[in-house]
Amino acid sequence: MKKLIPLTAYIEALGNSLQCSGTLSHLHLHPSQGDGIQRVGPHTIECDLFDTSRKWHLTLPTDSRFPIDQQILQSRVVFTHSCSLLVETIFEPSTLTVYDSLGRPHQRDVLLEIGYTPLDDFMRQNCAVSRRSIVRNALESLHSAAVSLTQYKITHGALDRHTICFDDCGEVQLAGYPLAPLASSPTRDHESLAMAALLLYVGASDLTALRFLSHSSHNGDEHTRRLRCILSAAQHHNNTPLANIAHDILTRASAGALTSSIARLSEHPFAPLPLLTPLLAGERKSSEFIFDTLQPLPAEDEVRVDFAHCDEVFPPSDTIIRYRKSNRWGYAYYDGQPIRLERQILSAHDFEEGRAVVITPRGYGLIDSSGKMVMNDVWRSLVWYCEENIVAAENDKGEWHIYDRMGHQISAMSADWMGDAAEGYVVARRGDKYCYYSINGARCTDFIYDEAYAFQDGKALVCYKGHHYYIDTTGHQTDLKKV
Amino acid sequence: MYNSQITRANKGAFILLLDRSGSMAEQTILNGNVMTKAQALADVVNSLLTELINRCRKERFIGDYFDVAIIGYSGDEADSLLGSGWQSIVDIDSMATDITRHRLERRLPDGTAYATIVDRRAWIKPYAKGRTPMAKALSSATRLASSWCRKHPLSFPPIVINISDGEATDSSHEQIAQLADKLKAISTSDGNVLLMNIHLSGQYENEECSLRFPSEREALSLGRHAKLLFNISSTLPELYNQEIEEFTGAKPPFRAICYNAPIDELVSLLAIGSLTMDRMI
Amino acid sequence: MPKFSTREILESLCFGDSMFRTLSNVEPLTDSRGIRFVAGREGIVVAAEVEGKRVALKCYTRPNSANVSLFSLLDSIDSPLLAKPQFLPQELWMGNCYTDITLYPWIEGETLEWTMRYLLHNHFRERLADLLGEFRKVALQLLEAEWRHGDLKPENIIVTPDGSLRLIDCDSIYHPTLPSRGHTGTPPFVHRSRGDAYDSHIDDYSIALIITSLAAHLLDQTLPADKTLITLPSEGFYPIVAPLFDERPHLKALLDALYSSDYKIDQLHNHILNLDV
Repeated sequence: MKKLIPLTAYIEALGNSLQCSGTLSHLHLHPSQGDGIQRVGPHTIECDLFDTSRKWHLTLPTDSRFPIDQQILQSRVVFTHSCSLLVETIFEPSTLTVYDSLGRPHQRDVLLEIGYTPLDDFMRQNCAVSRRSIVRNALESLHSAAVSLTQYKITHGALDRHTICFDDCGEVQLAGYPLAPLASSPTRDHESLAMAALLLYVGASDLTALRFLSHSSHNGDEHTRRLRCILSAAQHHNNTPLANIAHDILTRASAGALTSSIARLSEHPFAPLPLLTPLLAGERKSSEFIFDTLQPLPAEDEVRVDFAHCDEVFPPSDTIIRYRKSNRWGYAYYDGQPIRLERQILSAHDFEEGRAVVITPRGYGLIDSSGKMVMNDVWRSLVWYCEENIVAAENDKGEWHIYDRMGHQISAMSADWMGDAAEGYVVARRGDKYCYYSINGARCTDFIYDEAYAFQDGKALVCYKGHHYYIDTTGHQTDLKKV
Repeated sequence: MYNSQITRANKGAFILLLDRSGSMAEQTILNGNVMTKAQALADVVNSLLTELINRCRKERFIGDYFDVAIIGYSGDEADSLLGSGWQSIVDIDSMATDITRHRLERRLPDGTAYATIVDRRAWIKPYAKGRTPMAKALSSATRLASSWCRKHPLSFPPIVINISDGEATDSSHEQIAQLADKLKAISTSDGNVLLMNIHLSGQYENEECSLRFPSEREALSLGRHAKLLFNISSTLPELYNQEIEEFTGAKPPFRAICYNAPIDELVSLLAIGSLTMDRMI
Repeated sequence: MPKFSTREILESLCFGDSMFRTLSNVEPLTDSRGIRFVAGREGIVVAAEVEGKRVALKCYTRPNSANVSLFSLLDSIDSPLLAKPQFLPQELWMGNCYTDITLYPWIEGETLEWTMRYLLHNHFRERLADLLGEFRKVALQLLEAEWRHGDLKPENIIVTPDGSLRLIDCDSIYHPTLPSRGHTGTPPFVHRSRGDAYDSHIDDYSIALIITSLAAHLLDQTLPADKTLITLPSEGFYPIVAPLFDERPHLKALLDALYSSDYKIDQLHNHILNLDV
């Protein structure tokens, strides 16, 4: 049926207070929102509106009525007021007047919900700025939500990234309840909550994976592929709760099982998943790393490593051999004498000039050739620059510093990122601007460059106000030619 | 062979190859003081130079008995640390150097303690950065040894002492072996260049794994890197036997390699390596 | 006794007499380089003042054969040639043990080596002749004595201001009552066949070497002045020097003895007594 009322008419109506009444007359679009429309569904249009104190989420039907029985709609709306899990909804009939292309007015009902932060935005906001306590809160809240759904026999049926929302403290609020489909399996809700928990946990654990997960997979295959990648990475990195929840979602486990999985995940520490990003990006095959059970190192490895029975043995570096057996990494000398490590490591890098980066369930660390932790495994990220004898590392607050090979902090001021150490200088970023630090920790330039690259042969390429040129180690331009 | 006395007409020669890679920034303990391996190595080498000068000291002059070259290798380069190439002991003595003041303490058997301040000259400064271009260092040593032997055909051949704490990063083991063979093939009429390798231990490595001047049989138990160093090290002539026997308690023949040597032993090892000082007349 | 480096010894001396067990008021003399010393094969000889008197302290860098019996024997030898040392066992504290030192009375003068270079460089022929004469006297006294020096070389002979010669550094001394202590002298002042022989002929070769060198320079002043021991076989000057001695059979005999296969020189005393310069 041809729609008589174009989308622009709704936008006009929302922007014209004369066409709005009731609560709607006090709300307005935010100037930065553009046309303000968030989503256009087959039967509804959604957008965010604002009053002086809060955000509202508006849903209005493109047809004359919402595609649900009015009685059910209204009873659901009432229910949202008594269930703290659900976003409070206001149903206001005929409060919006829109004009069709012939100029005829049409009244529209609106549903207004208090505007909480949907999952995707919540992930982007809180995982990226290392607000892990809020993420932790959100995980616990998701578990509570799963329990409540079971306990109160609530079936939502339309839980997804848009309708699973969070307040500023990370408390779950389920939106869109009044318009949720009637026939729905309760397990679907628990799957959605579990998926939300999984995404939040992974996003907080591994920022690099976030970019692959912070948008919906629009087809079932991609959704499944992502889950399998997460499952593989979780197994590889010995993250049992994460592996279990991914497995449960994939196998459509019961609501009870899913609720338990959410609970365990909400208690599990965040841990990097270095394998995940290459899997999600398609650089590694997940079939390489699927294991049925996690294998501990055999006892004889405590005495002597038999390289012939290792899954991977790398060429020696610094006289030390890195090897992998099943999902365990280790180091040993030529004769198989193992280097005793203080921690169980999930991933290992080669030794260079007496140091190697390792990843444990807790985080990144730096070990010396005796296996001792020179920098404890509490870092979100850590890079060893052996040519410069320094480490660039990110702490759990998201702050980057440089450290000497003994783990002593060199830089006084932190940055949002540090790296590309070469010829005695390190590139640093704060916000979207770059600068250079010397490896003694002194900042050599201000954060002024739009782009900045490592020094080579005494020169570094930078971009400043759109112009690319080379600077020397004193920060002066050496070459003004455009690159 | 290896009989020449060291005279002013037939001088002796040393080439020291010093690892200055990043791993030399590891901490160690020398004479009870905590410092980096690079600092300890610099201190020991400076002591050796002082000792050479002192041993050449006559009533009114320093006898020109030795030529010394010191190559430091790190990053991608192997650079001369004493001017360029060879320096005579007389020139080394007249170089302007840093003077460091050291507080010395001595406690007599009765417990009385005394302290004094002494000045020590420092030709070599500590440095530790970058990788380990040992191949470059061996190539430099070959050039230096070759030019020296042409000028001093009758002298005791040069002694090359390579001090490192890790593997070469600029070449394979095979290439290192080839370079070492080329170096050891250089000779005077008194014998071939002697190559001694001293591998310094890490802070925590098991001392039981240390080997000093091992025999062929002991070498069987060595790891790949240690075996390489063993194979490229010279078999020491008889004149070293007594000193090494006293040091190790073992019997000759001895290979000129010490593996996983604690830094505290470096002084003694260099004293053995520079034994030709005792052949001065 | 362990080995010590010269630096360790010099640093011990920096503490002054607190490191000495019996000596007091010890003050090493200094020059622009620091403590004044000369290095030898077994140790260093430090110029010092002990209780206001100038001495030469020999501090050993390696185990030495010096012992009490040697020095008591030296004490019993009555010879104007010898600067009698005082052996001080376990005297200088090195931080973890004591080391022996030998205290020599200071003999003012220059070494024979230095003196020869000085005279040759400046063409002081007469003084060179005097020097030869003085050394001849020393050689005769030595050959007539029961003992031998054992490490006779120009650096161990001091030419005093009055022109007389004194011998220093007697650790290698030979005496019939003393057992061999393994000293083999200092090449090239030792005959190639001497080995570890320990008898009254151990100074023969160096006596012949010094006398023939002095004589050669005296007879031919065109010989290179920087070659003090010009008759040393390794110097290769035999064809030039031998003709100088054609009319001088005793000198010729001494010269030929340097090239013989035996370290013992027959009739050495006779040749020196009848030296024909």
